[in-house]
Amino acid sequence: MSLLSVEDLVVDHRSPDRPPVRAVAGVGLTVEPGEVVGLVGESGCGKSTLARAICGITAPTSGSIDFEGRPVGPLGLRRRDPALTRIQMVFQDPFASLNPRRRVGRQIADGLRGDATPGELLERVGLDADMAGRYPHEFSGGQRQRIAIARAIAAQPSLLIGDEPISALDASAQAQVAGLMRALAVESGAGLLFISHDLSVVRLIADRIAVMYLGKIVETGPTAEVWDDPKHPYTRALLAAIPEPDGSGTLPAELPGDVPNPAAPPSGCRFHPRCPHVMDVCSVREPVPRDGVACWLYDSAEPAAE
Amino acid sequence: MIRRLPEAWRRPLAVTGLVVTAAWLIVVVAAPLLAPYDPLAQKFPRLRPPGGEHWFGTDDLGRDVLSRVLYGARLSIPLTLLLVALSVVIGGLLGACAGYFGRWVDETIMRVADLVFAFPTVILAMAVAASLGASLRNAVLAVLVVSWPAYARVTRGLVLGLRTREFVLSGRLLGFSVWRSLRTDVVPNVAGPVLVLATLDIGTQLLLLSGLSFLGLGAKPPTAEWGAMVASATQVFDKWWVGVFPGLAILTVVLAFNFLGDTLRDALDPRTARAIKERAL
Amino acid sequence: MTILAIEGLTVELGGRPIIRGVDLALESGNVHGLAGESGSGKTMTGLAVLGLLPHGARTGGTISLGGTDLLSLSPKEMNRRRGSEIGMVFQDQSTSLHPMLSAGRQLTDHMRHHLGLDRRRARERAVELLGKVRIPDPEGAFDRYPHQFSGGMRQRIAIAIALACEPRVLIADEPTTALDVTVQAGILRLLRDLCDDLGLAVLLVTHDLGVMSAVADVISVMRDGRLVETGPRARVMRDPADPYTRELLDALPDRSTP
Repeated sequence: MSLLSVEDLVVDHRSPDRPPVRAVAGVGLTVEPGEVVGLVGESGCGKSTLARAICGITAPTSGSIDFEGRPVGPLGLRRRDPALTRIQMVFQDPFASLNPRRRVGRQIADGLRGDATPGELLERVGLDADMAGRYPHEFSGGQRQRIAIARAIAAQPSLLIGDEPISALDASAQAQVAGLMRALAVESGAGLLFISHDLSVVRLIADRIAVMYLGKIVETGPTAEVWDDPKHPYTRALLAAIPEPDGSGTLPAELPGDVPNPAAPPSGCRFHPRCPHVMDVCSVREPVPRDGVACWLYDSAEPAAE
Repeated sequence: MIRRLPEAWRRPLAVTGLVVTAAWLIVVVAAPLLAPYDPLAQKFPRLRPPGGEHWFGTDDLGRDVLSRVLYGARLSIPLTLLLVALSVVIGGLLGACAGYFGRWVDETIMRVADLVFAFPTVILAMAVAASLGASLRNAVLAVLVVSWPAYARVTRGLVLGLRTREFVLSGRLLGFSVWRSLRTDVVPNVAGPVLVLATLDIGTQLLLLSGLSFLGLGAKPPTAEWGAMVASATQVFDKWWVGVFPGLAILTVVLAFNFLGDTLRDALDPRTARAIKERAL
Repeated sequence: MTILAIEGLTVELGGRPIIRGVDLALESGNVHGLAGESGSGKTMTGLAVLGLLPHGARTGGTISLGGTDLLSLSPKEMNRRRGSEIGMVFQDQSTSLHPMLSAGRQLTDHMRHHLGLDRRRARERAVELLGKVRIPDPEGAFDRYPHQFSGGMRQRIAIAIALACEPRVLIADEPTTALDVTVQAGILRLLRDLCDDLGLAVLLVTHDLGVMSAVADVISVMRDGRLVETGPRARVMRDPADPYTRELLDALPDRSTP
């Protein structure tokens, strides 16, 4: 049994006097204990909505989310089922992830399990134990993010989710914080779902990568395979667009066009209007994931036109 | 926050506000000791101009204006403070619920608030006071009816922004109930701005309360109330001292609390605090 | 040809030195990259050139553009040059455009103000510029409002506005940081082409060494208000002379395929 198993999840954002926007349009995803899964995709692809649905902040429209065999329901008025507090999340904005009016030690103690002290947890994330008495404004962004991680791991989670936890940090802190999250999750046997738009960092820490485009996962596979031999044209475009700091002055490849409006997604494969390998079938029928890739290019069974 | 306070509080307006407020609070406590005469005694010659015996003169019924102004502070200032405190509690609570729970709770509370906002404040307060019957207590109720929605709206906005803040969400994920989340994460972060609004509002509400008394909808004669005193002065328009001194009392209290409110806002808002610092350099 | 020369620039804010002596020379047709971490003073350097330093900042040294020292100009005179001789593009395109004015209006206002063009000529030139920054359907885009464009398109419009008065210098502060990589790639190509075609001198301020490596001709690295190193792109990226530059490069996740 997987630690986390998401099946056919659909999440709609509803707002009055506008059609609902389908942010997540049927996603299946699993995370095993001790596994680090990197979820990548561009802004607006629904990766954050997926993360929020998994920990119950956003209510799904349909589909199922099972954590350690029990369904995850949305947060209600009462306190959360203690079994579900084993899912913890580290958020994007280090300046919003801590209460500015409480000492960090007390915040770390909020969900504390076991006999570790806030000071010890601070040490585990690479800070000094005696910083527990300080307020959040006395720390830098990178330090705050470490404190947010300490707060999350204090609850001894078996699934840790990072929702763009490094994108607001300085370049030098990014790799460190990402590495820290991996190390803490792996050593405690927890699963880590690490969400980022930065493939080059995800590549460093993830065992498996899932690539999301417009509410769907288009490709998933072991990190090295996806990096070395990306199958889906979108994954390829994403990798080719990363500028390399090699000093050669090579301009990264451009992916023409804009991300379509998720309220009115294209027919068939959602990537077909921007795809360099578009075929007739692509605009008609949606590809089914096969060996981790949802693309007609890799569907050996000849598609029957409708 | 504490470290930012001194710069903002050192400005001349802030000091003025502090000193004047402190002076009025002393008057509230010590009016019987400071007032030279009984504020209700009608035993002096009428309409005496200010002089050695009666610093502020006497009014049309032969009462000492200075004593009446000092005793008036005992009435107006504590009453206004109570009024503002009640507005903050009622409006803040309703606004926090509207913002945190959303949906029908929000709809109900905010539509009622909109209803109040739809009328001009003074006219609505007058209508409420008149329909309840003219008395000081009813005037306070009337002001309360028109003043809570401002707090509800501000609190709702702040809570709405906070509710989706990441530390509030992460608290919920760590097992906070809604009430604990409100108590530890929401309320302390809303308190500052609401406090600023309340301080700025003290002047407005004092003015409204005095205004109702001025119109005969609040304190009844012979009570020493500033609004009512200004009203009675309109009968003897050429004797300026009867109306000017209670008027000045209202003016100084309103200004002092406004200065305090401004200072408090600057002290709590890091951006303004920085601007003050830069100007000082 | 050196267009803009910064010599011995110092900036003090509240008695605290932010920039402690920076020398830069911007050449026409060149992208000069300015790298460094947050707090290194790279953004302040850009703002100093634009005359947009925070209130109360004290400056020293010179910034000369065509023989005039920008630091000695009056605010009014500086306003005239900013926008006409020096263009600027910032990270946050959602705040650098006016939300209530159409893209065309923002472009033409600018040109009519600085160049004194009439309505028709300004419109022609605006459409031409929108085409130049590769906005699809420039005629139609002229009448649309910022929220009707995607983030990448808004940044292109911001660039078009910056170029409206044919500046000789463009200050671009983290112009692609808020964008997705695929969109970033397009903007970087655009910047490079504009620099080559128009002979612009571009000061590109960014913390992203990948971006730097893709478009900059010359790279300067800043730390604590000082330049630690300046040199041609390939040399700085492959064989940095300063240990701090090496540190920055080593902190990068290895992006190349093994």
